[in-house]
Amino acid sequence: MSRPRSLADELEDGPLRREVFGAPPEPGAAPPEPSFRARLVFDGTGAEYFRIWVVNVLLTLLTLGLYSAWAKVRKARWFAQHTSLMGDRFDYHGQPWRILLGRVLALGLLVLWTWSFDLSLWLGVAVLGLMLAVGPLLFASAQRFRLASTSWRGLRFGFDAPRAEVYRVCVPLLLVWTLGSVAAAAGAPDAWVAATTAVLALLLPWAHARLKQLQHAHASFGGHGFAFERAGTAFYGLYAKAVALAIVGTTLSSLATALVLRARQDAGVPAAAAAVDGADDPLHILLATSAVLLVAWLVAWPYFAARAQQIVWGRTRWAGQVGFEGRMRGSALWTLTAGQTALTLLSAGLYWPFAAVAIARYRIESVELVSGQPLQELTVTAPPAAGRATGDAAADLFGLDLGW
Amino acid sequence: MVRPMAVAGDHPPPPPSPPREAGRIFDGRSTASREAEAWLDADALVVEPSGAAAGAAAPQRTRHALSDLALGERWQRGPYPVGLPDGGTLWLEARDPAFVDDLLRRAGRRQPVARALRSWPAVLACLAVLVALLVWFDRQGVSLAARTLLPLVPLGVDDAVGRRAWERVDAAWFAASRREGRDAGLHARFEAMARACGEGRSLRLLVRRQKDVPGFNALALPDGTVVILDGLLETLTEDEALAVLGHEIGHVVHRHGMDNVMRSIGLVAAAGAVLGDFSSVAAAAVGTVQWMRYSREAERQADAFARQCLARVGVAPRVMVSMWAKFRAEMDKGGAAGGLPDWLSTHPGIDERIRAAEQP
Repeated sequence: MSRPRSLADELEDGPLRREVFGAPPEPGAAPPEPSFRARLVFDGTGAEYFRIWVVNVLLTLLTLGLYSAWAKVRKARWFAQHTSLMGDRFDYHGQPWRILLGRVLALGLLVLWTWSFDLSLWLGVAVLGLMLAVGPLLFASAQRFRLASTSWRGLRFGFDAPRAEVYRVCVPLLLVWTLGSVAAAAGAPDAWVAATTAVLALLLPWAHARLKQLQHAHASFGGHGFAFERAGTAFYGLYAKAVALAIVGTTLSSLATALVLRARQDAGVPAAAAAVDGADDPLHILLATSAVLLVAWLVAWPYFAARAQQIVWGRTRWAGQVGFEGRMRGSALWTLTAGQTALTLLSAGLYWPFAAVAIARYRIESVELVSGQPLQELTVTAPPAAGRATGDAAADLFGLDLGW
Repeated sequence: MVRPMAVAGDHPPPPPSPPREAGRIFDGRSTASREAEAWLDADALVVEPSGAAAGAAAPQRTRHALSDLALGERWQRGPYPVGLPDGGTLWLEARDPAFVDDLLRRAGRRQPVARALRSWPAVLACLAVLVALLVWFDRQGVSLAARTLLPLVPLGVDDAVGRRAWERVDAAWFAASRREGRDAGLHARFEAMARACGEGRSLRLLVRRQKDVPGFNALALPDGTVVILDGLLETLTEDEALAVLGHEIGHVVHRHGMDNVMRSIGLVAAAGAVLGDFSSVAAAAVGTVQWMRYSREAERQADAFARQCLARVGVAPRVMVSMWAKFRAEMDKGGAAGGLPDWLSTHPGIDERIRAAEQP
């Protein structure tokens, strides 16, 4: 039985090579299509996800969290099997007990990290050292688990990054994330802590860009790797604009909150506005702060998410010739998020799963594949070993899932 | 397909051919697919690729024992993937959900959760149970869990947490007291009170002021450090100050600090289970807001402790009535900097506390 030629074969010598690499068009032939496009399609409904959400949450609570791994598999299968590309659906194959093991590990690390500095400085430093030592490996293993558990047209995705590079990318990121709070816990002077935090914050876009590069440049499908073009400067622009938007949002909502609180105070209600010295009602302060942060998040997040998707997918290629486009628009995502958040708040949270599906649909359907060759004819064959190996990559000890 | 009607007395009709379902096969080694048809035959799934290679005499049928198939849950619509033992996948078009249900039933996959998911009454019943469970957990469950688990946390943890917290709080908020030596009597009575009702916890009393104002406040840390601010000492009589200290010792003895930590973990975890699938920020916010409410319960417990403790050291518990009156006077000043003590404001209404203090 003759099997379809792989993309690599075609590139070696085949009609594809001539088509892709610009063989002169035959006289009289129609000019070649500039590009072929295919969009991800999502057809899950909010009503069905609502059912899944209710049952998953109930069983998770009744089992004190143990069921959450099975709940995650159900959710991931539902999302994958309702996402399709060129008429074929994705599938998810993660094993629940591995997810459970990963969650126990991650929870242990999180508890250690959250409380160690409250117990003693040295315990905190020891836990930070532990996180720097095993955190990168766990991150890489989670990435591998996620991709190796996902398939399309019967082939698993893969992730295989050199260990040294995993450390080179993750250790600076962990340091950027933690050094400010470590300095504070060590009792450094406030000004010094603020200066450290500010300098490290300047490094965050760089660290984020490197993380995306790590994730995208070492993924593979069907024996072909994904590639990722450096994106450092683009991430600085992204963060600068998002921070500016967040400042605008925070300022506006703080003003509004202050006005409301002042009005309440004038009406004789003890209010939080006068509590600049901290000696006031923490509940009111917390509510006011939450409201301000919610508005800032609503203003800045949609822009950030949309632009980040454009930057990341626009720089990703697969097998050297299939490009991607993130077509999410900040304004559209903004309208969608604001509306869905309002409905969620108005329904006391019951609308939540519908909102989650609406936003997920928009995000998924915004990713488009662009190729110089007809995508429908694109057939790849996993190298004989790779098909198995990527599937089995999930089976080594570190093939754990950590993500929620 | 039309079959002749069976006529009474005639031969029994031939067994009906089993329903077929269209699908596509991926072999797990290439993205190429083949059209196929599948049907159930006893305890096997028969898969027959359509459009077999030219020249082949018969399509290459394969039989797969139902027990060898990887079968997930069926959703309301959409194709259904069947994992084949050779690593391939058969995606059934699933135009007829009954076909997949029959497959699952014959393969002995009961999938009770998936069945519940497909029925609205079952889902609504789950929703009712979920809401009831969350309300119960919020009202009682989290307290019950914290009370049950608290004895498992060694007291050494309270001490370590309290010491670290005090280092930070003291540096960030407080300055040295300006009442040098004027409270020797109160310190002695605090020691006596600690012996009488401290239940073996080591307690120490510190006097501080807020950085720019005297501060009308007192606080307790899990390690037994009790802090009272200058502003309180300037306004209250020694007996009234002792009542405040009794309240703070109550927080230490009942381990309200650690209790709070455990409640916050429980509530954030529950909120995370409900909302965390898309926004951990929302989950943390909801969990924290709910957690703030619980301090009232702890305050009532500390008030009751203070009443008993005062009686034990020979002070009439009714002193708490005048103490609360002074707090109310401070509150009525309203908005004055440092006027409202933070350990009061998440607290039960002051009138309720005065009524409780007036009870014999």
